Amino acid sequence: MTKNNPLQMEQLSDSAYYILLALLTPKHGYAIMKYIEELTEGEVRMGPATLYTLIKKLQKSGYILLNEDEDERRKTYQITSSGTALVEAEIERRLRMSRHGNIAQLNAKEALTHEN
Amino acid sequence: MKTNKQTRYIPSKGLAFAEQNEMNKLSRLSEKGWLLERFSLFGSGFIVRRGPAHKQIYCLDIQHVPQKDENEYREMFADSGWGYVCSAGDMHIFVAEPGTVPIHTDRSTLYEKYRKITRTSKIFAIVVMLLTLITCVLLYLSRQVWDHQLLQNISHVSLLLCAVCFLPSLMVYIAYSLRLRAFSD
Repeated sequence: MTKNNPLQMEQLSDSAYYILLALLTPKHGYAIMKYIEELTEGEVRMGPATLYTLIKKLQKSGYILLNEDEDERRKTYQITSSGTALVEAEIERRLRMSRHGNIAQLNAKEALTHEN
Repeated sequence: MKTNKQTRYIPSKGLAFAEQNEMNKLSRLSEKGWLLERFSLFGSGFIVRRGPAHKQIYCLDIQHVPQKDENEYREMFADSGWGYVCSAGDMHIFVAEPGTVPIHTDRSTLYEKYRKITRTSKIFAIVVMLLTLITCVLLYLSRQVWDHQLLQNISHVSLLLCAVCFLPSLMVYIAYSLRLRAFSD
């Protein structure tokens, strides 16, 4: 994981991945949580301490930024270009990973039919 | 205080040693109508106040929150059903209805929760250890070499103070580093 160097996250943790996905359009804290819950149909629910910690970390690493120009009461965040590049690479990586899973399952099935 | 006390002092075993234990205790107290109000002076325990008996769950977060982020931080908790109760330094206690989504839902952020406090407690333990050693040397010198009564008394007292602090500070550091190890993988 990223504990030795918290500012380097070439491989995103699941929670950080979902936060970046939510911030493809600007959102404030609560909207991020709600969006993730809706997107995953309730499968992923994020606690506020996890959200706060990761938002600050992603902000420090320059993957997201605080919207300054809005004078709304709530702070909103949005993804930066480096954040977008990171999350796009991550979507691809995770797609490859699930394809690997499918292939491995097929291989196993084939091996079984050969045995019989 | 009046005969019908509205507040009570609840001693704490120390959040470094028995965090979950203490949170469960506060939850049991809420069931009996004693709701957490604040940390007691010097953080040696909690002050609870009479209120409607209603079971609630408590949770501790350790986080450095700059003043400009305070509202945002507390709002994120409030929006997910965790009401802010009180703070002592970087320690913040929140309360919620049973069944609310936990405040940490990711091991990596739980690790972060204990990372900084472990480092701080380590530095503190080392400083206390060094001070103990220095006062030891000072005591020896003032007794054997300089033969200075006032200096001898001063170093005596400071050695005593350091020795009293040393073991607890070491224990706090050990407790946090064990917790930290549990969340690293």
